[in-house]
Amino acid sequence: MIEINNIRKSFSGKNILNNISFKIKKGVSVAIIGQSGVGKSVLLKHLNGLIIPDLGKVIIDKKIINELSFNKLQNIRKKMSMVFQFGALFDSLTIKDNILIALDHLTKLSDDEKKERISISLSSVNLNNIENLYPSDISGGMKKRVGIARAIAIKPKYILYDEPTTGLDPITTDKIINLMKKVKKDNKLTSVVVTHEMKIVNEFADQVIMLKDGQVIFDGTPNELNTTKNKYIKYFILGKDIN
Amino acid sequence: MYKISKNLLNKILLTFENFGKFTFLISNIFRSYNSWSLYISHAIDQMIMIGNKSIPIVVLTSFFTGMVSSVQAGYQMESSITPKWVVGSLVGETMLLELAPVITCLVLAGRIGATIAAEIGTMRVTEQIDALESLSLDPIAYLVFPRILAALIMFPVLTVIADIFGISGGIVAAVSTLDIDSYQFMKGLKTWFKPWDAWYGIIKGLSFGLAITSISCYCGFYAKGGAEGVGKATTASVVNSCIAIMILDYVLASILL
Repeated sequence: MIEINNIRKSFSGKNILNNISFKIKKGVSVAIIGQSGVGKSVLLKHLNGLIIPDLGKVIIDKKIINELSFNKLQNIRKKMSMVFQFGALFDSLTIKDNILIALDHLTKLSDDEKKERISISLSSVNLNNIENLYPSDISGGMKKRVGIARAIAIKPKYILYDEPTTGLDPITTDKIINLMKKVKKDNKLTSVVVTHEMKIVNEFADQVIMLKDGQVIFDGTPNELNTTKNKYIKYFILGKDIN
Repeated sequence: MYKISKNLLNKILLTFENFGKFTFLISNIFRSYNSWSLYISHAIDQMIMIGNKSIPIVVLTSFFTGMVSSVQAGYQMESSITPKWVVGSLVGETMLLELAPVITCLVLAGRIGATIAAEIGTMRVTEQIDALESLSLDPIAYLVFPRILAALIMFPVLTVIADIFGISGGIVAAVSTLDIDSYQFMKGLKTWFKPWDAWYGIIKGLSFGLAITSISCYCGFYAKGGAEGVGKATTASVVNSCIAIMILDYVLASILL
């Protein structure tokens, strides 16, 4: 279970997150939405300790992670995977080694088992015969899919997606959403996704959290979001001013 | 006046902040000491990058520096009654004590320092460092430790190579352009030579190497703002490394000589 309690974060004196609180239950998929620059990715990076709040608590499996030592935080991170906006694949490593680096560090599998896990992970994101290519040899959509393969290869308990469909064409976006649904179903993961894409909200999420001016202005189901009378939220969903 | 004072105060505070972050980065190399063995292979890759691939530029610069020293020493001796073999002494001592470590490390501050800062800086702005952390790998142990270990081993080796080729360049110039044969040059070299002089140069190379890699890792690690940020980090790493070399040069001379 993930619990965020009254977190605040500011950068260079500018308040980004202001008293944010919510809970994410086990196995639930949550979409965090909001306008660009509202602090969605900053909030997501609090969940695995990449950013530490100025105030408040981030609680993962009953442990306050922002108070843990570096080594104890590393143990929490072993249960979590993150898919970055542009893949964040390591340029100097091949696709195979990008996944292997995670397996080497986080698992005690034999070499054959690691090889099999890499092959299964890449197949599950519909990528084959690219193990020996470098990230610079593949497209943006493929990089995102390799990022997902790397994330699921370690069999995490939680998976965090940072804008997984940004900059992709509609067909690739649909493929990524289907892939996220498949990953969620096959691995029974708790997922948190930061997105602008309403298709992800409607087809993937069980819970939606909307941010505005550093605060949560909506926390509910996609149905509740779509039937809300809040003008700002309607504007965001429809993409046009209804006033 | 108020604005000037405020800007000055901000710059002083920023300097302290940067020093604090630098100390934090370097001290945190030790927080994952139990997993250092995982990163030894990376250190070998870095030794190849820092060491092997720098040999041509080190050989070239030190050889020509030795030749120039020899020609200039000969020019100074032209009308004096000082024996010509003193050219060998001068070239040997200046190369061992000063020119080989300083010129080599200034050149390497550009080659190695810029490479390290650009590599790590690019990893920072493309979230690869975040990705390492999210995979519960320690980015400092993964990126900084191998580079510093490689520098500790390779910079003294490069300094010795610079010593050898610098003195060789001195001999070549003395024989070809001055009226000094190699026997006279070697006689001069041996006359003033003390083993400590060679050790002193190696200690300098080691210290400068440590400064270059740690400053460059720091500049890259805290780069921000996309391609422009990487460019700024790279420039800062080269400039600060060169300043550090000059300051360390004086400090080491004061302490060790």
